[in-house]
Amino acid sequence: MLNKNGLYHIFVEESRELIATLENDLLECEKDMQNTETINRLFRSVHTLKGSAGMVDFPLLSEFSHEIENILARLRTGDLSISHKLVSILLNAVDILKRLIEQEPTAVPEDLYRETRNITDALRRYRGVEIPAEAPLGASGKAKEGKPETEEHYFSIVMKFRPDIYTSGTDPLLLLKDLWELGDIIRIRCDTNAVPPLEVIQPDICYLSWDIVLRTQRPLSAIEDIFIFVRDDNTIVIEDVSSRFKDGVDLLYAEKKLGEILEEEGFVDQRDLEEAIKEQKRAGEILVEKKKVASNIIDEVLRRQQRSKELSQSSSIRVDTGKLDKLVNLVGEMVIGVARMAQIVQSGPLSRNRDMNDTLDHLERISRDVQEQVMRVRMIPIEATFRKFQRVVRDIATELGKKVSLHMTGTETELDKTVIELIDDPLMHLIRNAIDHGIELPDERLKASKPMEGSLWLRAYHQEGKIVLEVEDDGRGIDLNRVVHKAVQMGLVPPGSDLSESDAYALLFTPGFSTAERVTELSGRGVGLDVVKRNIESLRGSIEVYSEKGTGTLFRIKLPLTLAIIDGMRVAVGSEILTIPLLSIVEAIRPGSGSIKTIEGKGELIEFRGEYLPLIRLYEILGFEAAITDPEEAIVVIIEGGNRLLALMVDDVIGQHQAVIKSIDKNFRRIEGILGATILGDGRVSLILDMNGIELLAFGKRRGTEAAT
Amino acid sequence: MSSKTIMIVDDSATLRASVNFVLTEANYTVIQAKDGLDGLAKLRDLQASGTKIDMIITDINMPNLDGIGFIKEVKNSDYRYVPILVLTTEAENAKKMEGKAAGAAGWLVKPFKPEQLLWVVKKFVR
Repeated sequence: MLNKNGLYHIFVEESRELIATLENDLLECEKDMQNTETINRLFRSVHTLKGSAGMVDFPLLSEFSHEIENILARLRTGDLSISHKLVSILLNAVDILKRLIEQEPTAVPEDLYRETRNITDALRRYRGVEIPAEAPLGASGKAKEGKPETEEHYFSIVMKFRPDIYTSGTDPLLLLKDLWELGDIIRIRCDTNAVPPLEVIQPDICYLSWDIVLRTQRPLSAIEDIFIFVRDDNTIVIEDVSSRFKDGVDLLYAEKKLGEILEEEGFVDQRDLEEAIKEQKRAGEILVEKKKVASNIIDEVLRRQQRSKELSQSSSIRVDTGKLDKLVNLVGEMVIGVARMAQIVQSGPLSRNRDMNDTLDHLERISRDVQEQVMRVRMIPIEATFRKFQRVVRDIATELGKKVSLHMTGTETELDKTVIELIDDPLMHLIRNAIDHGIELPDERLKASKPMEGSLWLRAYHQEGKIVLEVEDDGRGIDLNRVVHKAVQMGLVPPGSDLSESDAYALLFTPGFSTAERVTELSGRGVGLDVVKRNIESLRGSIEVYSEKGTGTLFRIKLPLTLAIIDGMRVAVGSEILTIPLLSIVEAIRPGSGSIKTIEGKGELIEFRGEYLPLIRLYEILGFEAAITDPEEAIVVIIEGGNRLLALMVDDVIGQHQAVIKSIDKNFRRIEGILGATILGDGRVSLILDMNGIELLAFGKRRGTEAAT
Repeated sequence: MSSKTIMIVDDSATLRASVNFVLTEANYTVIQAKDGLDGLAKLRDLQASGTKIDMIITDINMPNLDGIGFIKEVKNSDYRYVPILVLTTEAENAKKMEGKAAGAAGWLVKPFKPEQLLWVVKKFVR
């Protein structure tokens, strides 16, 4: 029979062996520094020594072993490498171990204690640890970490176990006991609803789940520790609900019905409660009995209430937008793949196979549907953005001493999430402008026999496959004469120019342009409409302005439904196939003879519906080799550029296709005039032209003056 | 009442001796093994002699076959329903989780006091 002394004897015997192994292995290590097996063995020996020292209550030895183990652990992971110096230190440590083991744990001589400390410091320094002035070693046993928790916490713990929990050697009852030891279980409810009738009950299945509120001074981690072995495979939800409890009273009770509380606290079960509720008379029934209301009205109202509940409960999940983007892109690839397959089939012997064609048709339709649905997932209503402006309008109006009421329509209109995020700033700018420059002060409005309160409209709607956003005010409108006057002053247009209305409005979007006489706090700080325009163009949208002096101003923004896909027209320029966004195409014409004019300093112009448009030879500005260089033999595509119509000269128009836009910015770098690239049905790459960029590319930055044709 | 049988697997003779000491005092039958391989061999012996085993306590860091490997083997044997307790040196979660992943039912932090050991054993062996 072993006794305490016998145990200590075994410990000393074992430790001597371990220390001898340690010494041998260290010497071995010095000879062969790459041998990881030796290092593993060193680690294990010290680890075992540490554990054993702990068992016989020899803290100095246990902690000293721990210091050695720390070094060896780093050797094992490769954070430290072995050196002669380190081996020497470790050998010194082994000498200390040898001497320590021969001492009584409670009577280590002072000099040995000091030496142990010195070597400990050396080991720590080797690890790069700062040595505190006087850190007692082995004196206190285990140091307490952090300050003790004294605050009371309330934790809600829900435990639902796998039916086969018992076979894993875990008993929920033990966990309950562990919890109970941590603090007071102030509420516990055991859900017995899953327990089957006695004749089918299986003894090794866990049918129960629990709902607990625990009051404890221990931290969350203490509770998590209890469940560490069951958390992954079972449903264990631990929540700090301390904020819900005040003086030990659950604040949620305020909103709950008596029956619910009784059930939650486990005083009655669900069946009791349901029975009791059934016996209760409903308000509706009582009202019908008292002939205050007809029963069919009650039914109707209840039906509507039910519907309302269903609608408000429509379930949703949060998804990382990155995942959606990936999905959008993959679906795009799928659509391209299907198109490519269709192309291959149509040009081969299978083209007359009806089944094949039907299947392909079907596949194309389905993949487009999938694409549309995926796109729709990214769409969110603009309502939140619009609502936000209510406060903005109020604040700006108050600051300027104006009265403005905001009207919103089409708040349910859905936009791509990215667009919503990026449209915020431009809209904000337009709204500020409208209140600052547009809407007059109340006195002024009265004099102009307008209502004292100005109106600002925010509208969103769909039109021709685009989303239209409008910001309109009933203010003083834009004085075109002043705009032109100012433009002349700024040298943007030559004096005496006769500008068309649209050209004059276009001046508003020129960088640095402002007609504001005074610079107010809000607008006229150099960040003008040009920035708004640029932001909108970066979303592949356009902005127009309509105004009537004295009546009001309307800014209309048109945006594509999605940024991921573009409907494009394929055109050939030499051996290249380019894609022009369909929405910017007005018409494609074959120029008649004599319709091209060359004007000194202005380049070539082409007559289109009585107007002369600048002709851009695409092959020239993009540096391609063209098959056709005579405009009269080529095709000219009339497009809407930034502010005006342009004529693009191409070799041929091939046809329409839907293009999934691949970013060039992200994969290469930004190129002026190129929006992105897309992959064609036959696998070739087609560059997508950016209409605003093309204009810049063709005429440089002198757009303002060029406009005066 | 027949006594319950518990196996201790640890490379530290001191630890085995102390577990043996505490549990034998409390009227358990203790079987000692010095590493995972030894533990598996002892389990085969027990099976041959038809002895029932009620609980296994094992260290993690051992030569030849470590605790994790040992637990995995046990979980693949006829002894898969025997609760296994792992011994860890510090209250470090990594070790606990390793043992847990392999199929252990609980853990005990070394060094432990006799009453702590008895308390845990009583939780698993009834």
